[in-house]
Amino acid sequence: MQTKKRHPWINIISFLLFFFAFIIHYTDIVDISIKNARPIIIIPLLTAFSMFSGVGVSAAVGLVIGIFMDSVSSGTVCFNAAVLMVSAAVVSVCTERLFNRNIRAAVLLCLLTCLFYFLLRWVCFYAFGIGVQENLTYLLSYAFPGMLYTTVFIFPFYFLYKYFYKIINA
Amino acid sequence: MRFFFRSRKFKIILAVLAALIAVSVACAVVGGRMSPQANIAGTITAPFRALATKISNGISDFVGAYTDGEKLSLENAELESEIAELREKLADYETVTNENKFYKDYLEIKDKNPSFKFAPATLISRDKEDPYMGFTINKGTVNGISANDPVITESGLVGFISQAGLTTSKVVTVLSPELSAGALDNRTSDSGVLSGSVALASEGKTRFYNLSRSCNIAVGDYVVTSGEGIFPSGLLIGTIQSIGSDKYNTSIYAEVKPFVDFESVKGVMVITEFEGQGGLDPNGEK
Repeated sequence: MQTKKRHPWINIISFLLFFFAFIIHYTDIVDISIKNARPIIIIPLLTAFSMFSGVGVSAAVGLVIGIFMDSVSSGTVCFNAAVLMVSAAVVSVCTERLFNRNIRAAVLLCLLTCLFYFLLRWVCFYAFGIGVQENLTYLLSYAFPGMLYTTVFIFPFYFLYKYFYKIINA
Repeated sequence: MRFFFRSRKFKIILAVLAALIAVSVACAVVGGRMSPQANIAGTITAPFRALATKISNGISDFVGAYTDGEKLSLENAELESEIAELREKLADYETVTNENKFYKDYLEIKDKNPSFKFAPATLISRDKEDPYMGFTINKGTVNGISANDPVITESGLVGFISQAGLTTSKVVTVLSPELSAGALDNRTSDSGVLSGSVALASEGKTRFYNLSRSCNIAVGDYVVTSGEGIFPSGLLIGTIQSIGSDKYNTSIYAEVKPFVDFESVKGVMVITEFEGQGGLDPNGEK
């Protein structure tokens, strides 16, 4: 499976996917949260995209998406931009050099990306400002359920991107 | 892998990361401002988010009219009995006339506080990663809004502006521990501090603490801002739902249910000017 070969319609579909993921996540148009488990569907989408893209493109897309997220998320200035850029680059490098592009690798990478994102968010914004009990409540009620729920969304996005590239490379 | 760490791409990613960290530090030092790139991104996406929010509100209103009928009638019956109970309580209160004033809408608030200057704003996106239900509004510094401005609805205090961008601003709600404001029990004038917590935020409540052990607060009392900090005095916050004492038994705290329903809030008013503005910041620092 080649990563360099790109078709304009894939870029257009990717742009639309990121756009709708952003709109869905930051407005009440569709509420997919289950109690306190609020998935960030942009993360599995970015993971799937990065698995089938080069390092530079992945990092750039992660950076741009992160900047847009920072313009909306409360309290964050450059957090999302930095974390998503690094995550997308790492996913792309890992896929190129360490893993195969299979579903097991996709789930593992998405889980690790979510873990990285949610734990870093906890360390940066919650860990030192609140007490031990509050920290545990945040981790157990919000971060871990959110992380696991977010990982579930890797399945549709992975198969979608795999399908795109199968068509291109056929 | 070693080749990647020596590549130009890796060096560029590191340079961008360093730049982002530098911008974060600069914004943290200045305080209350969005980063330049987030400001541009916020301005670009604001119309789309506003449109999506409008569509979302339209759909939920349309669907809700059909699906929530039964639920609404049950809720209505519950609310009616609650109102009847509250009416009885109110009749006994000597301060009934004072408390009624809290049902005034924006115009009446303004009549009473001629020094207040409002900027009406609409919610354009919710921060779903934020357990304290923070959100973004469609007005920014070009509309006279600045960091730490109080945000209210006709029901009461919502929170404050944490970051003011050019055309959008981020709001931190009273459920957040980021907000630390002086508050009063309206009936007894007992004063304390209002600040949120993660555990209470999931129940849609906040905490009123540092109250003296001799205070006379009671469940059902209204909590209002005291005028200390960034908020003007007399803004309605919520009702006391339960009372307890801290683990060292030195002071009293209460759980407060805000009057504002943060999940359904759509339009807000930002108080851009009021008498005595420029007090302590929401974290209790000068």
